[in-house]
Amino acid sequence: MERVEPPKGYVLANKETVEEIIAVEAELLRSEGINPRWPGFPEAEHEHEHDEKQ
Amino acid sequence: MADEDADVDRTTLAERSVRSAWRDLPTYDRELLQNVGASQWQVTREALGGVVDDLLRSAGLGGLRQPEVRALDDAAGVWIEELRLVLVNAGQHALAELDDRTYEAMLARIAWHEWAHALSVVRATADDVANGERLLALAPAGVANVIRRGGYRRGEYTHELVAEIYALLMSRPRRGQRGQPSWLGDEIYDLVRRVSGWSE
Repeated sequence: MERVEPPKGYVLANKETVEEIIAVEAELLRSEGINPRWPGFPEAEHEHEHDEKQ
Repeated sequence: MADEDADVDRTTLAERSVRSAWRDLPTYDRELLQNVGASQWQVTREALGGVVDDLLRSAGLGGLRQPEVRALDDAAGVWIEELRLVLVNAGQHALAELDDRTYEAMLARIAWHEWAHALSVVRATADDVANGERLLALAPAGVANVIRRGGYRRGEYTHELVAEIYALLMSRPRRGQRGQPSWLGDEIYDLVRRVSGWSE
């Protein structure tokens, strides 16, 4: 049986890792004078069906 | 029962977030992903180690060893090149306490990261990969620190850097921002553009 190279995932070890990722992005955005608050995807876009998903 | 309802809500939000993240991709990037067979994704609430192991075994590709399963169990997303599939764990434990808005942003980020990863492993050159350590030294310090602490091998630095920067770039148009950010040097920006097709 063929062995594949194990895929490497996007590891979030704990909530502190997530907080760090969010803080890094916020710092970069603030450095450009941009409000780091995520504006969200519009609800209307959520309601459309997805065409590409298999 | 309330917990089950909350899980369903979070899974629905996760699926919507990944779908919206896909729609936000530039057209050319979506076409590239479709061309390399990376337009399929699946949202689950199970730890990814077991899910990936099951999928690989079902495809006749052999399973993962237990340490590999455990390593993936902490992952929120993964690109499985052999199956041409992005997997996202909506129930990843580190995401559990996020408010809905931050959760949506993180799910989109995970999806963008994995799609960029799928492009990077195909389109980055051997020289790009060999330059990973040097490129990481040129990256914004916070981004480099997250990657260094992520337990990646040096040969994975370039792919992780492309994926992280791409996810950061993708979150900007929703904030009304396009083009090269002031915090990103030309070499990494050009690398991400070349590898991912990013043209915004």
